[in-house]
Amino acid sequence: MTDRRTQLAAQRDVALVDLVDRLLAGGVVIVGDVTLSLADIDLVHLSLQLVVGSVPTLAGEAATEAGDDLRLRAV
Amino acid sequence: MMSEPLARYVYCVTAAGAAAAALEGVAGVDPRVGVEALDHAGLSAVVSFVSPDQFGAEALKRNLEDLGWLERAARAHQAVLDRALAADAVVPLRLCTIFADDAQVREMLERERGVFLDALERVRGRAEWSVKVVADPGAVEEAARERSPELAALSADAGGESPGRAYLARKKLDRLLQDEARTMAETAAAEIDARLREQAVAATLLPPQHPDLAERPGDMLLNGAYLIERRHEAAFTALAGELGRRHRELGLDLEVSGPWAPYNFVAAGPQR
Repeated sequence: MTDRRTQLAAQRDVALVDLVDRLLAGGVVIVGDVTLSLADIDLVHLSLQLVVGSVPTLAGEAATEAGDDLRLRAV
Repeated sequence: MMSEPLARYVYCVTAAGAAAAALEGVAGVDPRVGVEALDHAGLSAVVSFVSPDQFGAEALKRNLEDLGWLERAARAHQAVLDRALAADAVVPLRLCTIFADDAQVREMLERERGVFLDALERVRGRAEWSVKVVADPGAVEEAARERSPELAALSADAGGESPGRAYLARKKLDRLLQDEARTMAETAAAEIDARLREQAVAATLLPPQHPDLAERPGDMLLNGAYLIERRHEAAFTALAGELGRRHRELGLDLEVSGPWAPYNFVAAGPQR
């Protein structure tokens, strides 16, 4: 099916940041035997920021908002 | 080899029997181990074995700090979801949802049965699409200058003969131009979102991505997630393409990706 091929081709190009947007911030949150604590998720955001080096003020605010949003979703 | 018993990583939940065939031969977050469907209570958890060396509480904390590890896990998780989504409706779970054993997974399916059945009902025959609008500030200002008669007149003055008049005009122009450009771009992004929502079953706005992490430079004005009937996907991407072409001369870039498993439309509670 052409559709299927297009989809797979598209997925190869998915950026990590798009995956983080969905895989960590979305999805049903179930408390498992090992669960990502909220602190862990903040750490992930932190390492993402570390990778890009200095964070401009505006970007810092956006990142904080994203963090807040994660917390709200998880409650 | 393994000192501790293996744990169960859960990727998503489908209706019982829905995804088993599609998952044959698909690797899990541990690339040496395949994914399976674990049926219980009319539901099916898509699972694979993981080692506590990698996915135990302590190891996980350490590994999530390693972007390479995180990326491999995220891509493997996503690949499993893609295959499951191609087969039937899925309810994605957050990355790294892990249980001690099959009994714990079954217990979870029973406990959360209502949530899963509701969510499956809501997303059946539908998929999530992402549309982002990114503005190139320079190009947006240029477009704003061309479109506003007042700004065009000021531009003429700023480039005119009288030095005093030119200086004042330039200062006023810079300020107005920035305001005008911002308003124009935000209005356009809101209109794009409104048009896309007309074709969506549900929609939600995600926080804008960090500019340095986003694939394209510029200001992210829209990071929208849209739940689309699968039979209307072609129409939706066509609309997004048309909106993209129409707004390119305003300095806006539309980025479309999908189909995604409905990550942003399965949370329990009120849906927008």
